[in-house]
Amino acid sequence: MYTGPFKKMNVLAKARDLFKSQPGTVLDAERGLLLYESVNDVIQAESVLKNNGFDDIRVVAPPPEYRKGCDLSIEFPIIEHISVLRSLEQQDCVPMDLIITGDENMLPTEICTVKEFNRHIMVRAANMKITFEKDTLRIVNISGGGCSDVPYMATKMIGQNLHDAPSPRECGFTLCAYTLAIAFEHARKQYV
Amino acid sequence: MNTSLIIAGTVPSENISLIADTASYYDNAVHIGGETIPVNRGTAAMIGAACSIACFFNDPMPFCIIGGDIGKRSGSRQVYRYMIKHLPKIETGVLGLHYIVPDIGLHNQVLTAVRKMSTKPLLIADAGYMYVAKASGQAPFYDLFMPDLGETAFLADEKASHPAYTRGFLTRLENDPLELIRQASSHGTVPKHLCVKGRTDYISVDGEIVSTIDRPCIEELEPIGGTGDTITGMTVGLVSHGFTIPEACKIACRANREAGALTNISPADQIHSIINAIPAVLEKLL
Repeated sequence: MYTGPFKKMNVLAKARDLFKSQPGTVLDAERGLLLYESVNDVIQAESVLKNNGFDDIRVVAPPPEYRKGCDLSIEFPIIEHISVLRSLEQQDCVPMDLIITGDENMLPTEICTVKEFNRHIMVRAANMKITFEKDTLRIVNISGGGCSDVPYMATKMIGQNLHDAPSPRECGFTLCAYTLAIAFEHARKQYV
Repeated sequence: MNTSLIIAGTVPSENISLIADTASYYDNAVHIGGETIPVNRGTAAMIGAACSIACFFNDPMPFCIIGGDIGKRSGSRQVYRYMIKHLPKIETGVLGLHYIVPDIGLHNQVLTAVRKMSTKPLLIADAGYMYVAKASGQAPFYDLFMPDLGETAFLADEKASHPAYTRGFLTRLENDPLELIRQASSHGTVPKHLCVKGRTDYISVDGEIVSTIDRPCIEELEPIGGTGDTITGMTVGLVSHGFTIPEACKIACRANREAGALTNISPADQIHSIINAIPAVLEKLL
């Protein structure tokens, strides 16, 4: 995450300029996007904003011209830009950039499917799967995905109980981690 | 350098720097460049399976480009940059590309390096490398993608840049894999060959199904991390040995299932059980 003073001043100054010089545009657009260097930075910023009561935010894909292939950004009501940026600044989570968006943004999936085996349950979200024992809730496998943290998360989570296992939001860094977190949270909600 | 098979990808370690060397597999681990890498899933599992194929046919062991990366991108960037620098001087028949953090800019530079090679190798991509190949819009430059069903829905979605963004109407088509394959092929978001791994495996050429593999049906393989990776590893090894892409995919998909049956696999088992059974199942199948 970039938190250096020069970049921080730039994005905050840019926000001030946006709202001073183009008030009509801003009001029409209604939504802004916070852009970060990595998915992990977005996960942290989302957590900061949710903990500060910003319920009308959501994580979405950045516009095509900003994509590297494994990205998330945070969409928020533009009217709340001052308090959003203040909250992020207080937690050292200032974004790399802030842009205005008018188009419909792509949302990450939140659909989970469940498959039962004799002694195990598998929960899948998009390309990520987590499997655990019915009786003990011990995680026995993580599969799917293609980003580099999938094997790493597997080493951290397999063998742990659903109660105690670290969330992929904590031990992962990529969109595969974000997707596995959706499956993990669904499993916790349904079975713990 | 002249080699028949190169595999590039990442392994989950912050202590491993870039390694470019010949790999071997024994004692449930990949051995390369003085490092011992446990095979739990991902690129290590792919390499383990490719080594088993090479061993079976007495072929040279694969040359592997490995970066240590737990998702922070640094190891992935090392792998991209090694290929950008060295591929133009390398001759190889097959280039297998696997777990990596997607980066469209670096991916496109790798393709530029491939275009400078004296002979274009067969490009086979799975996992993160398949994601970035599709997201870059250059999938048709590749020869084979090896998705599971969820990833096939992503490939069929011309707007999605990662499987996490696959739109719901395509996710719901997962019970109709033939339609997903048809849509992906019609959008130009896949290469000539697809090997879709699932309860039934489908091999397609230009959108037409040429093989389906559904026996033996081992449901327990799906939750085990690495079962798709071993199919990919066997496939690159078999193509490197001289099988056509459809033949190699068919043998690899069948061998994975037979290995599951032979080891009486359970959802709690780990992938080295499958890799260790490869020689026995090849004896049966070939």
